[in-house]
Amino acid sequence: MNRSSSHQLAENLLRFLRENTDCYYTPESLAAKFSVSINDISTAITVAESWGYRFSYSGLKIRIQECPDLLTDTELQYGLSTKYIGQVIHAYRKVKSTNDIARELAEGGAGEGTIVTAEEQTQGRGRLGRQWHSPSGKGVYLSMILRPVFPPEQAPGISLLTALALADTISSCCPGLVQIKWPNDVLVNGKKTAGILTELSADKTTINYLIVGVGVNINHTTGDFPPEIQQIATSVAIAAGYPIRRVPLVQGFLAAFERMYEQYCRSGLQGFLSQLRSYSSLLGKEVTLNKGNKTLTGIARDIDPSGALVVACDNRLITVTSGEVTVVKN
Amino acid sequence: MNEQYIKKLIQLVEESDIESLEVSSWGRRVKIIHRGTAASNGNGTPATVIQAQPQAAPAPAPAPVATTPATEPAATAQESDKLVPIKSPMVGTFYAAPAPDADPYVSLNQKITVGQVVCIVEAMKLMNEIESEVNGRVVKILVENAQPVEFGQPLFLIEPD
Repeated sequence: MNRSSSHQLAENLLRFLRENTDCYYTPESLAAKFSVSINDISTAITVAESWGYRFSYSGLKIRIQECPDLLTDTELQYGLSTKYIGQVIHAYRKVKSTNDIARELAEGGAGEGTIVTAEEQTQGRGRLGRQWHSPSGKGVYLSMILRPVFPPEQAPGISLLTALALADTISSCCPGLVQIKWPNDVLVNGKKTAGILTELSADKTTINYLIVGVGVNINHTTGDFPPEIQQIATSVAIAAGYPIRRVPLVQGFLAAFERMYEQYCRSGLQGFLSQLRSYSSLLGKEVTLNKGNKTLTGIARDIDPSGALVVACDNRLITVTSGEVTVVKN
Repeated sequence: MNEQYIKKLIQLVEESDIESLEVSSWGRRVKIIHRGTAASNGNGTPATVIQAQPQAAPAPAPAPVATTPATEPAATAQESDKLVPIKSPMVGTFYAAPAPDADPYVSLNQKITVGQVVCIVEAMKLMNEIESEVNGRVVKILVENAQPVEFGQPLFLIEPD
């Protein structure tokens, strides 16, 4: 049995044992079930152990005792309550960027809700080519393919929606500490914890596909961040004070996102405004923003139904839809 | 570069946020500076400024007949009418390159093909890669990097093949 077929057998075996965790199986019965030799079953078990699975034995009989916290197809599908978001999973150990893979898949016709996950990104990126530090096994690096029927000008709202779904999900680990810095940075204790990069492919009237890329710092310690961002970045585990299992967190996010996305397709951001306002780190604060070549200072007042930030500036209200907005430090 | 064409360019500058527009064609160059910017430049000119000057042709003119700088072949004016704009599909910020230190997606006079990414328009951190809908040549880049753009605002003029 070659390497790839023993991997395949290991996955099939895990899937079977995963669904039947309450009883033990003999090597003979497993060999018969998969039409392979007992030796092949031992090899598959060694492979699964190398992935982090732990088995318990009763004599020669076996069952799964512990599953690793891996963002794989096998792990994510158990306990995933969505209809289509994450029902097709492309999981990778190491990629340059999950958004790039998702884009290739989308170009190849991958359907709505297909997701790409990776344990590590070597060229994880944010907006404008900025790097998103993505060390192995510590974070969630995930991209979703969406194919909405709404027109392209409604696509930007998805940025805010994704931030909201993430903020709700992260709040389950550290309630009361989560904020959203308009439009879509998720902060915990005022430091950046999650970033979102949304990329659109569309013609004038129709969206071809939308790639929503999410990077979340989950189990990073301060030392896992490069020195230059240690003061401004944090992780969910640092805030919660204990290590976080990523799989249920991702499942929770995918379910929250799907629910919000369906509502957004029906009625836009209207129903989310009060949540967006209460999570906002900017409202009521003095902020600076760039409008053309000018830098303006004003008070962030509101988030309007299109998702734009409303800033009061010299007795008039400015609607901000793009560019950087930063809080003025006193 | 006839009068009608220049009027069209002036209209374009006046309707947009851009400060100035410089267009070269067949060895002639026209620069249009928006009123507000011109005033702030301190030259006191109260209206849209047009600077026209002959320019050393970067390449030998392909026309076999010698033309005086003052007269334009009629074909050029007709070609200008055929230029296809690439417009912004949303309100946002125009980015000419994928990253600040990266090369722009396209440069002046570059040949482009259908589906080729020409720029990004960002709105609420959503990066919208704008693709060309024609095969042709970039004859004008109408917006500067990192400037705000309006819905439907022309970003590029393309001379189709």
